[in-house]
Amino acid sequence: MSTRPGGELATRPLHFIWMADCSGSMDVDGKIQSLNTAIKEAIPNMRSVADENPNAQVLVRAVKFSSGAQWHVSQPTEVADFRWEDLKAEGLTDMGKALLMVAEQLHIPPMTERALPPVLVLISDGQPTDDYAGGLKALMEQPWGRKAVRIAIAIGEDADTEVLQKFIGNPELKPLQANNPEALVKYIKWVSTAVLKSASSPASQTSDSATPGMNVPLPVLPDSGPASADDVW
Amino acid sequence: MSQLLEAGQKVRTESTGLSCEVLKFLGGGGQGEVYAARVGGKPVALKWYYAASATNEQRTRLGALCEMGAPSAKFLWPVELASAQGVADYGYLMPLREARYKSIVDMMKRRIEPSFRALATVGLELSHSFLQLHARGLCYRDISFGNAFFDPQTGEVLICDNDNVTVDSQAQGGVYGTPRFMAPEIVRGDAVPSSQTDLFSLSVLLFYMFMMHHPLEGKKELEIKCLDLPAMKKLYGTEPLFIFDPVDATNAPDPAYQKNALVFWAIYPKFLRELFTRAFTEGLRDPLHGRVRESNWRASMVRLRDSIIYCGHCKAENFYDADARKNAASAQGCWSCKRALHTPPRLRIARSEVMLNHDAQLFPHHLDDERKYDFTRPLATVTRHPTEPNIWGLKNLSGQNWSATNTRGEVKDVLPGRSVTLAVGTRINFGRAEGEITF
Amino acid sequence: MAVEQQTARWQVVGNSVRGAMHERAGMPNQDAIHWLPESSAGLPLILTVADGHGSHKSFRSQTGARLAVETAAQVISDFLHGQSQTESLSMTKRAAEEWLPAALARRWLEAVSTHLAAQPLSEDELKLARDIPGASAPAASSNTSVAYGTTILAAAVAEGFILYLQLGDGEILTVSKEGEVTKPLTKDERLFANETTSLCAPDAWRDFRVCFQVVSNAPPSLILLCTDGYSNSFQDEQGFLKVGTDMLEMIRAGGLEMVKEHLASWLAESTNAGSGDDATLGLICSEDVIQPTAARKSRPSSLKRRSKQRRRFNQRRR
Repeated sequence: MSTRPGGELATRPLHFIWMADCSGSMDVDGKIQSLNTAIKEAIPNMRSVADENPNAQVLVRAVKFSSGAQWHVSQPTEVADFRWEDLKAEGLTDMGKALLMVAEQLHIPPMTERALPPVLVLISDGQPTDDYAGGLKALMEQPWGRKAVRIAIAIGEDADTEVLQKFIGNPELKPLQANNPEALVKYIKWVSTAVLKSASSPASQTSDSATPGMNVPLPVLPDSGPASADDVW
Repeated sequence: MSQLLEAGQKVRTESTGLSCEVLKFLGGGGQGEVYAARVGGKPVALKWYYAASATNEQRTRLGALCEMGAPSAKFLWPVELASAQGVADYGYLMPLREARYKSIVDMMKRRIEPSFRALATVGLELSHSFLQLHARGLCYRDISFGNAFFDPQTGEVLICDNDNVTVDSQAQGGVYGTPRFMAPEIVRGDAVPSSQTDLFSLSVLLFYMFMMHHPLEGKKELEIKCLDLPAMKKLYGTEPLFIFDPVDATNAPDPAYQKNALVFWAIYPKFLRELFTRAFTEGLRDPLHGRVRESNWRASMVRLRDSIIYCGHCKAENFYDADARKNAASAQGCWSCKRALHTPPRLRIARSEVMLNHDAQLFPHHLDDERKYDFTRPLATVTRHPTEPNIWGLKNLSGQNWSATNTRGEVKDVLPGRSVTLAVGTRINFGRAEGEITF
Repeated sequence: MAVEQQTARWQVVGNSVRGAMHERAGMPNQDAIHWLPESSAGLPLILTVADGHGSHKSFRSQTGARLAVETAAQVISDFLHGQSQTESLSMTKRAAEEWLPAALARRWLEAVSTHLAAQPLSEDELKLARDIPGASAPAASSNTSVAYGTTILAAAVAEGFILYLQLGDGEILTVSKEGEVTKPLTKDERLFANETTSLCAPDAWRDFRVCFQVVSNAPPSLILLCTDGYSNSFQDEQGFLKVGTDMLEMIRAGGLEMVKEHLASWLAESTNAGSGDDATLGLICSEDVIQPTAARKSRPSSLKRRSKQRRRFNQRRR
């Protein structure tokens, strides 16, 4: 009797989600075409990384946001099967909705506890035109949202880096500033190789403790006596 | 994994003869197992003893406790004995403990982080409850981490595991629980549990809560390689030594392994440290006269709570220490961020002082000598002027008028709902007490 | 009168394999497993398992894990011997919950210091300690034990009780005679997404989970300890818990020796197709499961051998 004990075996899922801004401004200066090209160029690299790390099952999805947000690739897809259809640019920048949609997918279920920390890559060239703070809050309320590796790429000088920094949520990691197609390709490549690689190998992390401050106003004594206010009110 | 009873099994309550259905195993201790159960459609907790603990003596004692009833709502008390045909031994019913109560163990394990304010409230309610228990002529015998539960938000206390409570001075001898909480004379075998020994256990529990460390475990404890009976007897019974003993530093905390004790000790005001010192110097040696009494602890807990102030930079809770200020050349900074502490105004009333933080409240305890330890409803609260953000005041939440006299001698009425500006020298007459705002 | 041989009552079996990920990266197995007594049978029986963090900062965690399983087993063994004189289980329970975690953490730190003194950090290692992304100060100066960071799991069977302790991720399962699988320790919500509590954390004693189980009518038949490299290899929790029931059946049918023989290959198969991480599994097995050996001829005759091939025995009725 040498059948091993226990149920079915499975590698650990690693969800990788592209979050792409395809607002009208992305049409200017060929930014959307650069993004499309960069992501397509990245796919073979992702395949190599996935092959080198067979115990991580990389599953890719993409969400696009302009006026509203939709899944561009809605089903978690194995890298070997992942195809990129070119994005078209038109409309506003509803980043908040995109964040909400990702938050929903990071909920347990459909996520499981044994998954590897997901990788979220937010790419934008402008200012969000909807309630992005609400979307971000929803994302951070999910344990997997908090534990996700969050990267942001700012395309062009008009991108709102403050918003992107908030998404990253780590003061030591800044949004990557891509001001030309070469830089964009470089950053997308980095995200899909180096970042993906390190996310695929689960070394245990001991957590740092962080204590958020509370907002507490202090009563202050008036100097010599109330100047214009009554003593009793 | 439960071993005694199973879900769906039925036992019978002895006095009322009702059927009690076992629902779910909750946990097991040294004496028995506890289950969630149901009687007459209502949820209860059922404890069932292991054979070794299900003695006749225990049964008699339990019966007496059920008869007596709890000293107060702060005690989770046995309600009724239970047994069943064909099932060995017996158990008893008690109310279920609400999920909001966590034990001190949870605090030790960093699962909850109560504020100093909550801790002071826990200390207050623990002392108050034990005073009531002793006033009834009972003694606890077995105070430890596992029995004291509290709501980390409010500090409200719930004392559990009361099945070992006995009538004072009728307790049999025998080793109970761990020597860490037992009075030295019991560890040595020189005495049996009594309300005097309870006082010692209470002081250990309070010390542990505030210092996150045991009062007798300093360097000497680190020297123990094997924790056996002789080692325990020595450390807690024959040669106990306070880690902050003012004269003998041979049991001082080791900064490498016992940092908590050193860090926390420095945070609290002098009066609290003096009380703990007394508890573990005279209190070690003199069971009859040297121990700190519950009424002392109770008063100190209120004083501690009323002396809390907030750091203006990092918001951490600190303590206003009147004694330190008299002596120290420079004011001590915030224990957390080290920056200078800004002291808010305070109200001096009778012999106590209450720091007037942005969230300070006054209760009947503060304003009426006949209502000591009444913290049910606030009678006053600090409030901010609606249009002038730099002006703070004290709002009258009571049903009667106050009158306020400012430094110019002008007297004004402060009707219920209205506020009097916090200014140095202002005196307020609350009806049954008068206070002065100082800085 | 039949004489029961004490040595056959409880036994331990265990193994640890390097994960495919570490093989590919040329890194060693950073899990460790240990038991006392070395003969693996008799009471008190102590099993310890540890998982070195293997991260950037914990570059000596292989050693850290080894030190953890060895010191923990020794400390627990000393503790149990010391407690054998006490009459009250409540006392031992309290001491286990309150004193033991701190003693375990301290003894590990001492072992780490000794190791570090004998083998100071090399130039390369010092560089590693400093090059931590985001580190503001060189870790080597303040908390060198981070380099040895590890988790620790322990189970100890003594006369009258069983003790379970855990710091960090990994799993402890108990299997009843009927094959019901439960976890004696409550869940630690902080252990999520590869984050773990650790022996190297300051005040590590606070992060221990302890369960003291009095042995009464129905003690467990099987106790399993494993690192998360093993438990994470299963598609879901049910699949992992099934290991408990399957093991019980296998031991009943084929004996503990059979499990011993195959354990390494089962672990390898699981991690290769699963998490890719180092996988370690230890089992403590009680007398009512272990197949009788030739040496125990003096046992009551209700334990009969049916045939040499299929070794089954009747369950003794209580």
